[in-house]
Formats: sequence, C-alpha cells, structure tokens
Amino acid sequence: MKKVFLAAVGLATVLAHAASAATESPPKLAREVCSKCHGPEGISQSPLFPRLAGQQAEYLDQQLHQFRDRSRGDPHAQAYMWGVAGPLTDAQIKSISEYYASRKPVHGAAPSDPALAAKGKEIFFNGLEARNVPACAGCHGEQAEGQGAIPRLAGQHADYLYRQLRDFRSELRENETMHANVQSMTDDDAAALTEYLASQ
Amino acid sequence: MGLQQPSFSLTALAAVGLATAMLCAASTPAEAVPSFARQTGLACEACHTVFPELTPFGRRFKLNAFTLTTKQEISDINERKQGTLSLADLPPLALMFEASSTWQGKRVPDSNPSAPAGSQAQNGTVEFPQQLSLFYGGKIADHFGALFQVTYSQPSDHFTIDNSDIRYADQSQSGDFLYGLTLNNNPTVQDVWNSTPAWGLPSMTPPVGLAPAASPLIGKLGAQVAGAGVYGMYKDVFYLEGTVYHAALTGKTTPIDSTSGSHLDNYMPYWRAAYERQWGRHSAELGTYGTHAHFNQGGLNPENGLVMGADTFTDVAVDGQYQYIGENHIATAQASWTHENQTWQGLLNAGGTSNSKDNLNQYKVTGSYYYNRTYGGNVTYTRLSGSTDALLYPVGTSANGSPNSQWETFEVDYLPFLNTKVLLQYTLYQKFNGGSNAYDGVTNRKASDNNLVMLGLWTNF
Repeated sequence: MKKVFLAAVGLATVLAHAASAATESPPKLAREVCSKCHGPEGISQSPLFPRLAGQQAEYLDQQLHQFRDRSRGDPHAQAYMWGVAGPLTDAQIKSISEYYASRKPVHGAAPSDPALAAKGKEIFFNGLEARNVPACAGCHGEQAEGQGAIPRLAGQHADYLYRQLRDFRSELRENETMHANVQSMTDDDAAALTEYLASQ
Repeated sequence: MGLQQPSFSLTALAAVGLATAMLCAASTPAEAVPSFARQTGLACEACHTVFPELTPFGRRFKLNAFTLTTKQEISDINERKQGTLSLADLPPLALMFEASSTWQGKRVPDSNPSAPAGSQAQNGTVEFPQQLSLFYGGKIADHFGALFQVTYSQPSDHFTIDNSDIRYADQSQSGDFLYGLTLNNNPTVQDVWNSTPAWGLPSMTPPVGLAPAASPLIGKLGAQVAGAGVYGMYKDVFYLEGTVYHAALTGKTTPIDSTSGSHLDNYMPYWRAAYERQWGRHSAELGTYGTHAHFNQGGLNPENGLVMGADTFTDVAVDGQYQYIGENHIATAQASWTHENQTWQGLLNAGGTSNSKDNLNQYKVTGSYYYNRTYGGNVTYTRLSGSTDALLYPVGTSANGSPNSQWETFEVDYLPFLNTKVLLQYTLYQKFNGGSNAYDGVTNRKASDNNLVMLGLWTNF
C-alpha cells in the first residue's frame, strides 16, 4: 500500500510542478472567477457565454456596471451576472474590462452555411430597408470591431449574438437604440446576420 | 447500506430473504445544493441542467473545490500578504426535502419471521420525509471547500452522515491545469460526470420495494469507507484521479473487530481517467474507473475474529456521457458497463458460496430530455448478468442461483421552480434474480410483482 501512497504523492508533485509553470498573469478575479465561464484569456468554448477577448473596454465597463446595478435584466444576466457582478468595485470593473480588452480576439472559422453568411453580410453592410433595420457596420465598424461603448461583434458565438438580438427585440435586454433597430427583424434575418458575424 | 450478497443466516427463508433485499433498496445519493447558489450568486442553471445533473460549468465548480464566491468575506492575511482566512459572512447551509408515495406491483411477505405463514406487508407506502438532508456546501478557505451532508430518513428515524467531500484545489496561472485533493466517504461521490454510481439516474429512488440481490461493490460503499485522493485536469479535457480508501464504518465498534460485520479489509485503491470535449452547446465524456478491494466477512466466526479470509473484488467500469444544453431544449445520455471479478475465500470458508470465483456485469444506459428546464423526464435501462452460484443466490432469493436481472425506470418530471421537482416514476422488471416467473423458488413471485410506481416531491432550499 506504500506504493499506492507514493504514487499519489508523486502525481501530486508532478501536478504542483506543472502548475508553477505560469504564463502571463491575468488579474486575480479574471483568473479565479470570470475564466470559469468565459474561458482562459476570455475565449469561451460554450456559446452560452460571450467571448470577451478583444472586446471594447468601455462596453465591458458599462455592462458590468449594468449587471451590478441590475439595470440589464435579460434572463442570462439575472441567472449569472447579477450575482457575480454584485460585489465588484469600480476599480475591479475597470481592471477586468481593460484586461479583456487587451487580449487578442479570436476570428471565426469559415461559415458552415456560406449562402446564409452572405445574406448576413448584406444585412450587416446595407441593412434591411423594408424592415427599418439600419446597416450594423455604421455603428459597429466595417470589421465589426466596435468602438467605445459599442461592442465588438466579430468572432462572437453566433448562438450568443442570436439570443441578444432576440432579447433586444422582446426588450428583455435594455437598449433603446437596439430595440428600434431590430424591432422588425425576423428570426431568419437574425440567423443570417449572426452566422456572418461569427465567421469574422 | 451494506453488501448485498446474502449473509449466512439468510440462506433459506424466502420471507427473510425478501426483507433483506428490501433493506438493500436504499436510496441513492441525490443533491443540488442551494448554498452554492447563495455563495456564487449564480442561479441553479449555471451548475445543473436539471438537478442533480451537472453542466460543464458545474463540473468545473466542483473540481475547483466549491470555492468560487462573489460574496463579502471575513478575511485575514499574514506578513507575506498571504491569505490566512476567508470566511463567509453566513455559513453556506441548505436543506433538501424529499417526500414520496410508493406502490408495489404485489405485496411482499411480512418481514416478521414469527408472523403467520402467508402474512403480507401493506402496499402503498408514504414517507414524509423520505429523506431530509442538511448541507454545508461551500468555501471553507482559499482553495478549500466542502460538501457535508447529514441525512434523516423515515425508516431509520435518525440523522446520519451522508455524502461528504472535502476538497483542496488550485490551478496554474494560465488556467490550463487544475489540480486538487479530495477526502470523501463514498467512491465516485467526488466524480463530476453523471455516469458513475453516486450520481447516476434515477436520482430519486423508491424508498421501498425489492432490489436485485447483486450489484457491483463500487456502488455500495457509501458511509462505510473514507478515502484520500489526488486529481488533475488539463485544459478541461483530460482528467486523472487516484484515491485510496479504508474502512470507516458508521455505527460500529472501533477499532473494527468481529462484531463489526462485513467491511473493507486494509486499503482499497480507486482510479479514474476521463476525456471530455466541449463544442458549442455539446459536451461528451468517455472514461474509465474502478477499484480492487479485499472485503472481510467479519463476525462470521466469533472464535476466529477476522481471520476467516478476505473476499476480493475487482471492478472495472467504462462510462460515457453526452449533453446538449440548448436555450429551450436539454438532452443528455449516459452509459456505463461495469465488470466485477469476485474471488471468494472468507465467504467460501463459511459456506456462503458454491464457487471460488464468480463475476458480475452491469450495463446501464440512461437518457433524459427537458423543455425549458420545466417539463421532461428520463429513462434508465439496467441489466445485470453474472455467474450462477446456488449458495450466493440461494433458494429464497433465486430459484436457479442466478443474479441475472433486467429493468427499466421511466420518470416524468415537472419543475415549477428550478429548485423543486415533482416526479412520477415507474420501475418495470422483466427479470429478477435469475427469472421472470417464480424467480425465488419459494413464493411463486414474478419479476413484475416487484414493479413500482412512485409519486415524489423533491425540493432544495
């Protein structure tokens, strides 16, 4: 049985040694809390959680404040972010926002449905005049990179973006500009647009 | 919950054999702990598809020693600015309450050996509570957390220690490598997939009724052992664990002697390896786990104490899990195959087995679906097959000395709230202890006579 214990101790030693091989150190909160859902470096695998790498710092800062004061109340914000952001200080919010904004964003893979993505590209650059949907690129940028409080959309999970469009349309998520922009957008339009954005 | 092999005083009387099987039909562990939600500020859906099944995030939370917190803490540091205390303002406590009403296909014989021949127990059992558990679930200090469960059950009419898992965990700076230590009292309770015995479906089981005589050892050591282990997970993909258990009997004399009954002899290693992938809303796991145990049939021979010789069990299991967690639809599946080699020495010396070696195989497949985490249900198929042994499964338990059994459990659930489940469950036996008709060789009882219907309420708060 000594051998079993020695093997366990040996494994523990190997694990501890591997753990000490640290790379660049993110803020403690990002490493110990945010990364559990949003992934290391802000690159989440699950489309339930948005990718934060390369997101606009001002947008992240604004959203964290809205989670903290509960003014952003879509279902996932309530289930996940109200509790997490509740105790954050202004300084912590700033630090987290700047950290994720400094991370290199990921670019999406080629779309699985090129025809759908092409339709989405058309909406992104030219809007849908018949449904009063303006061109997204006008605010979010030609590369969908965002600016200031307007978020980066390129490379984001299609599933996450689709849910946000739906929540804007139903006004579960607060944002008067987006309420107006997507009010007449159909599910098919949203699917095409998010397919394109996820591939950028 | 003890070993389910019949002991020597039970080799004949059918009624007593049935009563023993009933005692063995203890409920499986089943948890979802609201104190974790209080500590993290996350709703149930972060960690559970539908409780108690874990999401990928729930698995990471557990592997990180339940320490994620977003609440204010009472803290302290030393001169080197290292944290020496991080205590929650309020203890992370929670309650679990289960109530049930269960009906059997056919009444079972009266468990009182002196009752007139043919006497039967009442059919229709109400338990209020079926189980009432008090939890401490959450962070104890930095990187250090625990889940303690103390449970009251109506038949025992007392509180006793239930699943407990104390963990220490940390990760590399990059977050790629997670490692930890676990102290726990039930092999597989530390596991994070729902394809292992401690966390498999059905998660709420009928409190009465007969259970097949045989089942793999690894699933029935809860609260009889205590173990220490080390684990690691690399890039959320590769998981490896090794734990060593020792007998830690509850309610028995210490040190263990011939009055203690059957118990684990010396140390028992447990291993676990798993590979998990996540893509989009999907995740899948493939793994293996097992143990090698010497079991002492203590107390069988008071003159010789514990020197009757140990029986040896080697369990090797292969398991897999798939989850799809959509916005409205959740579908999951688990499967496992467990092979057990049994080498009898103590039981053979005492005349409790016909063979010096037996084996047992358990196949289990489960599937579940939920809509909006509100409406849904699950199906479980289980098949047991093993060696024929006329003394291990004697007349009264099995007419032909076979442990072979096969059954399904169908469950329909309604969750009016994320922390409350109302369920209707039907357990359907095709084969029981080797036969479909007159399977015990004494009472003309059919396997289908053991079918069960249970209406249950399960809430956590």
